[in-house]
Amino acid sequence: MNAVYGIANAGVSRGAARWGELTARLTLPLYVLASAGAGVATGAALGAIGGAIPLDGRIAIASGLALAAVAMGVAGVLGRMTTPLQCDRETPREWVDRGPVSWAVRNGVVLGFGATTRIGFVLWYAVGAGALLTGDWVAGALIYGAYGLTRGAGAWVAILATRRYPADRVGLFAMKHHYTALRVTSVHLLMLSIAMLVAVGG
Amino acid sequence: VTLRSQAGPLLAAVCSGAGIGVAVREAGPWAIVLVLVLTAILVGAAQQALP
Repeated sequence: MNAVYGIANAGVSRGAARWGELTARLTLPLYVLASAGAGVATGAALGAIGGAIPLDGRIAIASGLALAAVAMGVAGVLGRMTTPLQCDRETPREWVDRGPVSWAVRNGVVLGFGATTRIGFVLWYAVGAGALLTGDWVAGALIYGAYGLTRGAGAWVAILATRRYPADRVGLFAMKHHYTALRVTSVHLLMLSIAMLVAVGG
Repeated sequence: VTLRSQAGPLLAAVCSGAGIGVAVREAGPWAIVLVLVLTAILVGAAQQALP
């Protein structure tokens, strides 16, 4: 909802007056593009770095991570959620005072990269680890780019929802489903780790 | 929450994971990428529910 706040206030910021209404209207697309772009760039870099690791090494790392993920997935399904290592902070709200273009690009890039914000779910690590261990920059860009695009596009969905429902209600709806999201991601983590063990470790 | 009460979701996750693993193994490396892309979309969507 921080993104929704930023987008909603981009039109009334000091910068918006200077850059005009058109720029303010471009905030949301710019934000989504920046988020997706940051994801693509991060994934491509991780994939390229992973390419330098021999295939046997990548398979060994993937198997080890998948085994650890099985334990965390089972614990998550049983209600013992593992708190991921994270910075646990939102992007500064003051960024909105720097104008819509600056806000959209800064916020989009930071959220599309993800690592310096609140992560919330252990499954997030599968995105980076997957991009790295594919050892291919195109595959890495696809994986992390899909994450960046989805994280940015979520604000778009929230903005659409605020046209029909009060913003507070939209925010509460998302937060009320946090536990459901934890459960779903735990089940998915378990499923993914078993799948990876069978696919690459078997 | 006990192991017994969560046996259904656990079993479903393990069986579907094994099934996906076998399918991915047969289909080749790009199937792993597809699974990871879908995972990335799920993570991005789940993070919208962060408090």
